[in-house]
Amino acid sequence: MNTEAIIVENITRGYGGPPVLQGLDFRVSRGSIYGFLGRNGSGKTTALKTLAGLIRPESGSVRVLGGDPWTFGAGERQRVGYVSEKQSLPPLGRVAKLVKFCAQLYPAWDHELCDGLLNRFQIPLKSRVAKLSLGQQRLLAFVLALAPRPDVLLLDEPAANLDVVARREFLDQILELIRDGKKSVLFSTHILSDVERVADRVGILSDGKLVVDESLDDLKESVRQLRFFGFQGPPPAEIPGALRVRRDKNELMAVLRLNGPDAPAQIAARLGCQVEDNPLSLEDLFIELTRNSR
Amino acid sequence: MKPLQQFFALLRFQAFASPGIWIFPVAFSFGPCISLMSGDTWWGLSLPLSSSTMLFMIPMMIAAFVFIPELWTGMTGANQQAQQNLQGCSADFLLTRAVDRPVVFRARATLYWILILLSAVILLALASRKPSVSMEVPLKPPGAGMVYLETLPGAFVAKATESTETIFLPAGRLAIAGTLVLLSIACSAFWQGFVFAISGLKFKRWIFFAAVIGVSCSPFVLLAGGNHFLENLVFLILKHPVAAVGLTGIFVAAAWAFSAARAKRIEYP
Repeated sequence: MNTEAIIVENITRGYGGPPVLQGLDFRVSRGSIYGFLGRNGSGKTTALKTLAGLIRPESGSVRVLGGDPWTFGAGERQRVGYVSEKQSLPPLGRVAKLVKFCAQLYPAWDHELCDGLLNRFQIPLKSRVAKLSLGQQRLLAFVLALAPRPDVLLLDEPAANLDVVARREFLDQILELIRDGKKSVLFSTHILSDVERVADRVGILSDGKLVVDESLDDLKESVRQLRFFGFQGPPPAEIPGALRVRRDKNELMAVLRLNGPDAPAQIAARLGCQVEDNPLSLEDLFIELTRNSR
Repeated sequence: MKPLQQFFALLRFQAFASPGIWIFPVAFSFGPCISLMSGDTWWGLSLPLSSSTMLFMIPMMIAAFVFIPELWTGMTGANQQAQQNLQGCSADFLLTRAVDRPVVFRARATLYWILILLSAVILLALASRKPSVSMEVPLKPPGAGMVYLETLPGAFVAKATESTETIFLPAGRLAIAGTLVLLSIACSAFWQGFVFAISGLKFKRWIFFAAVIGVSCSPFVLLAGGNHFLENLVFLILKHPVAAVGLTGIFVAAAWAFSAARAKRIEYP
């Protein structure tokens, strides 16, 4: 069995103007949760729509569970759940009808899970979709994607409009889904704490390609904020390879991607100064890595 | 799930997910019904054809609602809820369920034609309750009434005065209703092809609304030009009914095949 649930190889895609995705490349392993980050307009939704088979890449290839999602039929689609950024559920239908419609399409539909989640998220079955709050509509879309227990779950900004409690329960459900080690989740979000809480790998999209694709621990380990101080003379204007350098009197504050644990000391020795190593939060990391991009 | 089961599940779901679409057949047939059923005597075809714009325009709206509900996404002047209501079953939702893409198309197309044919049935049913009508035709220019006598079966001159003659058409109202239905079916096929032709384009919404404005203005353009295009078309259909039905059938099949092929390739960015 292939250990990769999603393989994206060098895909390019635009909408008539400059390309939104340019050479996007990443893989999502089975049993993992991949957090997809990026600024507005960085191409997250386009990438997810490509994976959901709603659009095709102009070049490169996309494989979800070994197949091209553009050509997926009902059988393959049973194994892929998708919640779009602007999930437009039929507004005038009642929740019960919507659930019934979806349940009949999926032989593996987990009625117990579905009823339990609707109950927990306090989504009334008799209500029309339009009467639900935006957060409830989002949760309903999530329940409909989760109830077939898909092998791959694609979520585009799933936590938008959710209150703190609902978001926590939603994240718990994601963790629950992958407990068997065979299922995979790819989700895009702007809520970095969600990524820190559940994702075991993170991709940061910038200008249509990934500037980061590694485990969260590795990322935090490799991108550090270093304070260089105690220079013999005036500190240098630049530090080669630094993502950002800020001068403060006789000190330099730099964000660097490091090669190993000894790298800070080696740089300090080269510059003839002392160094203090400060870890960065994911939010700080994200800002540093995407500051000058879209 | 087998394709046939998928088809019925999708058809049922789409038919009731946006119940508002069922207003269309009534709206579609309302104007033509009023103009077709009014009066026992007509002075030419102006009155029965006066609401025929509805026949061209409403299938266009139905086609957009059923086939490309995404058209309403991001529409200026509509809030999120209104947009959502207009969208009904968007591709984002339907095409990412466990369904085959061609089955989604077939279910949508079937719903579309049910809506179109429902209005046709309403029109024909009403006309069949009162099929006969009299036509008062001026004697000048000579032979003005001949076209009715030649094209409508059973037509005869019931009365003649110095300036007019009254032609009784035993199934005249029904025949006119039939031609309008045939024209509406041909128009519906055209709009089905049209929405699929524009559905992949970047400016599809603008093209669609330009077409709506164009169709809305067409009666004024025709009136300004003194054009009897529609009347002549009706007589042509009445003269060659079998050929008209055959051609309409071919047109419907071609539009279906074209849109089925397009539906396979359409992207939903």
